[in-house]
Amino acid sequence: MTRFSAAGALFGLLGLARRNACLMIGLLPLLGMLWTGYRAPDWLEPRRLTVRLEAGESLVLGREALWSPQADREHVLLRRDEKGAWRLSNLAAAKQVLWQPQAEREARSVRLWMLAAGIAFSVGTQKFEVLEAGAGRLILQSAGARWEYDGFGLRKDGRPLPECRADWRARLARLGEGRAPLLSARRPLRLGGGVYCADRLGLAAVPVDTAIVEPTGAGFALAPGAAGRSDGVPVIAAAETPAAQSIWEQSVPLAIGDRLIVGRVHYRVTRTAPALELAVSARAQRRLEGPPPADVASVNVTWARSEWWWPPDPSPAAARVGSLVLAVVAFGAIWALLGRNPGSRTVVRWGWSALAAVLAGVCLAMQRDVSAVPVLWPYGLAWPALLLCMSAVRSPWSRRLMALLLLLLGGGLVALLQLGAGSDETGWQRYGGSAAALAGAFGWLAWAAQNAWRGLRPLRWPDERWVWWSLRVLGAGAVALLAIQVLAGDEGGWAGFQPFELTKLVLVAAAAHALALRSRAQLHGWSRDRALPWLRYLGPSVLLAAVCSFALWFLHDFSPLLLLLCWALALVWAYVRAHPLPLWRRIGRVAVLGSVAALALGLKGLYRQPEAIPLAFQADRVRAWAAPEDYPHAGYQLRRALEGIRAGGWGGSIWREPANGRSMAVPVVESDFAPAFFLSRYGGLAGLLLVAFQAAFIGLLVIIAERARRRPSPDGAWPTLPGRFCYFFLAGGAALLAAHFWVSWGTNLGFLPVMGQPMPLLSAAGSHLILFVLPIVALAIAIEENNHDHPF
Amino acid sequence: MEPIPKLNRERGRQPIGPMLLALAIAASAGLLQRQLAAIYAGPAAGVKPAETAARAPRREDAKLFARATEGGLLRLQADGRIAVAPADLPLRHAYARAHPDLLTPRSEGPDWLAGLWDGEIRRLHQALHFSAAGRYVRQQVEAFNARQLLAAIRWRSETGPPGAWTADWSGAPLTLAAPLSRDQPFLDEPSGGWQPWQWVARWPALENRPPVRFRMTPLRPVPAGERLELQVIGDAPQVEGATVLASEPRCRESAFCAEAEAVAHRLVVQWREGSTGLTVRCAPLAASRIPELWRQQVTQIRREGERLLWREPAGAGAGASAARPPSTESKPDRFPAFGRAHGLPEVGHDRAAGANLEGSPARLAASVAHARWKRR
Repeated sequence: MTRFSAAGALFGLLGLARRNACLMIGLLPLLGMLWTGYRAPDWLEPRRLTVRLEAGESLVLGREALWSPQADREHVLLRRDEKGAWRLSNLAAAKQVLWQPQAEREARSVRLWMLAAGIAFSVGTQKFEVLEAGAGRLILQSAGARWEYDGFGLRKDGRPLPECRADWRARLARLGEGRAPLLSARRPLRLGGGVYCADRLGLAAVPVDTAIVEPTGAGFALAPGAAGRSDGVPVIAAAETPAAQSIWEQSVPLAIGDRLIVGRVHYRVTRTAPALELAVSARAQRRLEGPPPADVASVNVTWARSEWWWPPDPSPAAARVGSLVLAVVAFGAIWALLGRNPGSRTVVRWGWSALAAVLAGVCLAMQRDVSAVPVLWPYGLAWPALLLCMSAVRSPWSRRLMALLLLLLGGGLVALLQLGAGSDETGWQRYGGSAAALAGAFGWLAWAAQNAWRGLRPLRWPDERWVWWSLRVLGAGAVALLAIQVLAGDEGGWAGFQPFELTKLVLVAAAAHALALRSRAQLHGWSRDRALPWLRYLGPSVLLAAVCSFALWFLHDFSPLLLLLCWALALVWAYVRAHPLPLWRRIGRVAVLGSVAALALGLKGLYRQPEAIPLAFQADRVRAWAAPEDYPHAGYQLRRALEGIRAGGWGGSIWREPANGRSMAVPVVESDFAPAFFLSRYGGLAGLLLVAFQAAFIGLLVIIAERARRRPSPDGAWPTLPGRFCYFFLAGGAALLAAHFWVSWGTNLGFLPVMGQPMPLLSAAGSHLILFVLPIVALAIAIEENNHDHPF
Repeated sequence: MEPIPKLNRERGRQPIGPMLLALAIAASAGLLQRQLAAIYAGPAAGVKPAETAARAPRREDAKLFARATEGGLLRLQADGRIAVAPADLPLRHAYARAHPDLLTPRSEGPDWLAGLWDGEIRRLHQALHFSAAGRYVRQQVEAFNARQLLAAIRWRSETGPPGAWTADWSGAPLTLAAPLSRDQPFLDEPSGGWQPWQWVARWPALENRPPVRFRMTPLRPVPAGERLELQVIGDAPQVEGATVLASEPRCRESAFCAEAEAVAHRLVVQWREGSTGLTVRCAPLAASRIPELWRQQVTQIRREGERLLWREPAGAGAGASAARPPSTESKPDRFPAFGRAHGLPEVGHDRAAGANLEGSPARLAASVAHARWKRR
C-alpha cells in the first residue's frame, strides 16, 4: 500500500472518500443556514413611514422617528408649504442627508446650492461674487482677486496655481489634464485653509475644507466641506440679499420617486398626498416583537417581519430574479428529459452549460442589489451550484477538497447569515448575501466551464506556449489594474472590486511558471550559462516589485509583505525539496528553516521593542500590539474583539442569545474581525474545529500539489512541465492561503499586530473569494481530475 | 558546471504523508486552544505582566497631548482657549518655502508658521489630525474650549412663553443647552418663574471674540408694551427690538455690584410696536470670571497657571479594558450598540466624556435633552 493509499484509507475511515458521504457533508452547511433562519430573532422591520402635516407646519425628525441608528437625534426638518408641497432640510451639525431626485442617476447632498452668474456667497467674512458659472468653467471675484476654476485646477488672476501636493500622482494627473480623463478626474475646489493651490482656495481664519465648490454635470455647486459644521464658520448662500440663507439650511423639494439616505438608511418617496409616505428600502433599525414603541407625533410606522423566502412587496428586482430562476428550472427539467436520448447528449451538455452561465448571471445581478431580494435567495442559488460541482468530480482527493471547501465556505456563510440575522439593523444581511451570490456565480460558471470542457473533448491541456502567453497577458492586465487603482481608485479598490487579489493570483502563477522552467533546465545550481532562461524570470520579479510597491506606497500596509514573505519561503522550500542536487536540498532546507526561525525571533524582538519598527506607517499598530494598555485608541479593535471572544467562551453565545449583542461592537466585524465574531457566537470549540478544517484544507492542497509533481510525462521522464507548474502553483497558493489564515487568527487573537487581511472562506471579502481563493481550489481540482482520468 | 539529468528523477522521494497532515491539524488546533485558554483566563493573561508593571503609565492620548503641547501644535491662548494647529500646516510650511506669495494673509490667531517644524513635529501633526488618539485629543480640546467662554440667557414673563431662543456668533449658529450645575447662587433667583438657563454649549473655533447674539422669535404676535424680564450672563448686553426699562449689573454672589465687576445683568424690557423679534448682544465672559461655575472637570485637560496638563483617567495603565473607547456614547438611548460600534461624532460625545468623569450621566443626559437649534 502506497502512502497515498494510506492517506486515502485514513480519509475513507472518516467517510470523506465516499461520494454520498461527501454530498451529505455538503448538505450540513445548508442545514446550518436553515437552522440560523429558524433561530433568528423575530425582528420587526419598519417598512413605511407616514408623516402627516397640515400646510404650513413643520416637523423635526431624528434617529428615533426615522429608525435610523446612525442619524442624529434631530437630523431632518420636514416642512409642508402653503400649497401642500413637501420640503426637507438637514439639521445635523456634521452629517449628510443624501437626496436623489427621480430623474437623476446619482445622489447628492441636500445642502448643495447651484452657483449661477450674478449671485454671491460668503464663507466666514469673505464674500465671493460669481461672474460666470457653466460646465467646466467657474469665475469668482473676491477681495480684488479673480479666481477661475475648471473642475481640475485653480487660477488666480489668470495664473495657474501649482498642485497642492507635488507628488508623482499629482504630476501624472496634471499631465493627463484634458488628454486622459482617467488621470485627471474632476475634483472639488476646497475652501478654507492657509494656502492657494490647484484645488484649494485658502481663507484666513477659516479651517481647510469648511466648504467646497463641487463640479456637477451642469456647472458648479457650493456645499459644506468635511470640516464644515452648522455651528462653525458660517457659509451663506445668496449673501447680502434678502434671500440670504446658510448653506446648512438649504432645503429640497420631495416628489414621488425621490430617494433619500439619512444616517445610512435608504428611503423612497412613494406618496406625497394626503400624507408623505417614505418606503424604507435598506439598512433600517429593527425591533423585537413586543409592545410597539411610542410613535413620534405625526409619524406612523408600518411594521413587517423579516423576509426570508418571499419578497415583501412586488419588488421589481426580486420579481425579475424569481421569474428568471423559475424559467431556468423549467427549462432545465425539459432539458433533462431530452438528455435521455444518447444521440443528443452533446447538445444537452452545451445546453446545461448555457443554463449554468445564465444562473451565474442571475447570481451576479443579485449581488449588485442583494438587499432587494429575500434573505435566503442568494444562499439557495449558490449551494446547488457548489453541490453540483462536488457531484461532478471523480477523484477522491478532489472530493475531499470539495467537501472541505463546502464545510469552510458553508461555515463562513452561516456565520455571515447569523451576522445579519442576529443584528438589529437590516443592513448587515448584505454581507452574507453578497458573498453567497458571488460564490454561486463562481460555482455556476465553474460548472458551465466543466460541461463545456467535456463537450469539447478531446481538447488537449494547454501547452507551454499557451500558458506562457496567458501569463504575459494576465500579468500585464494585473499591473494595469493596479495602476488604475492607484490613479482612479483608493485603498478599498476600484469599480467595486479589489484588483490586488487578482494580482496575487497572477503572481503565484507567474512565479510557479518561472520555477517550473528553471527546474526543467539541464543546468542546476548557480550558472551564467546562456542556456538558462534568465529573462523568463523577469515577469514574476516585475510583478513582485509592483505588488510590494503597491502595498508600501499606496496601501501603506505592511501585511501584504508578511503574506508574500511566507509565500516566498514556502516556494523556496518547495523548490529545494524537489531539487535534484542533494547538497542544494540540504542547504536549502536549512536556509528556509533558519529564515523561519529568524522571522519568529524578529517578531518576538518587535514585540519587546516596538519602537524598532523600520516602517513609519502603521507603527501604532505594532505598539498597540506590544502594549495594548497604553494604546486604548489604536488598540480599540483588538480590545473589543477580545472582549467578544471572552464573552463567548468555549461554548459560544449563540445557544442562549439569538441576537448578536456585544459582538457587533467590534469594528469591521464582517471582514477583518469575522473570526472574533465566529468565536464570540459559536465558541472556542467551534473555533478549534474551524482551524482543524483549515489545516486539513491546506494539507489537501499540498497533497494534490505533490501528486501533480509526481506525474510522469509520456516519455517516462517525470514530472512534466504542467506537472511542475501545478506543483509550484498549488504550493504557492496553499502557502498564501495558510499565511492568510495565520495572519487573520493572529490579528483577532492578539498574537500579531492588527492587519487588515480577511480570513479566507469566513470573512465577507468578495474579491478575495472569487479572484484568489476559489480559482486556486478550482485549479487544484482540475489538476487532480486530470491526474485521476490519466492514472500513472 | 556539469549537466545532470532532468529534475526529479528520483522516484522514491517520500510524499507528504497523512501523518504529517494529522500532525499539522493537531498542531493548529493545539495552538489555537492554548491561545483561547489564555484569553478566557482573563484580560491580563494575553499581555506581558512583568512589562506592564514596568511600563510608565502613559497612555497614547496623554503622550500625544504632552508632545503636541511641547511641539507647539496645541497653544494656550490669551482668552483661555487652546488653539489646535491647522490641518494643512505641512502644506503651509511647504508653501512658505516654495511659494510664499500663495499663502493667505495672516489672521489674528497664532502664527503657526513661526514655530519649530521638523520631521518629528510633522509626525506629531499627522498623529494629531489623522489618528484615533489624535481625534480623541482634539475632542477633549474642543470640550475644554467650550468651557472657557461663558454666555447664557434666561427669561420670565407673566403672559406665558414668548418663543424659543437661538444664538449665533459672528454668523455661526451656536448650540444652546441647559446648564450642568445649579449650584451657583445667582443662578437661583429667590423669586420664581424663571425659565431654565440657555447656555452656549459649544464655541466654534473662531479666532477673535465677537459678541454673541441671542435671538428670540415670538410664537405669537406680542402686543407692544408687554414686559419681559431677562437675565444675561456676559458683558455689556445690548437689546434690539425692545426698550430697556431697567438694567442691573449682577455679581457672582447674586448681589448688585459695579458694572466693571458684573458677570451678569438683569434686564426689564418692553416690546416695541411692530417688533418681530428680540435680539440681545453681549460679549462672552472668560471662564475665569466665574471659576466655581466650572470647577467640575469635564475634560481630561486641566490648566495649571500657564501649563496645560492631561488628567489620566483612574485605572489607566493597569486596566486597559477600563479605558473608555473613543466612540462610546453614554447617554442611554435606543441604539447604544450602534453608537459604540460606529463612533458617532456628536456633541453629545464630549458631554458623555464629561459625564463619565463627573459620575453624573443622568443629569448630563437631561441637559442635552434640550434641543439646540430649534426650528419648528
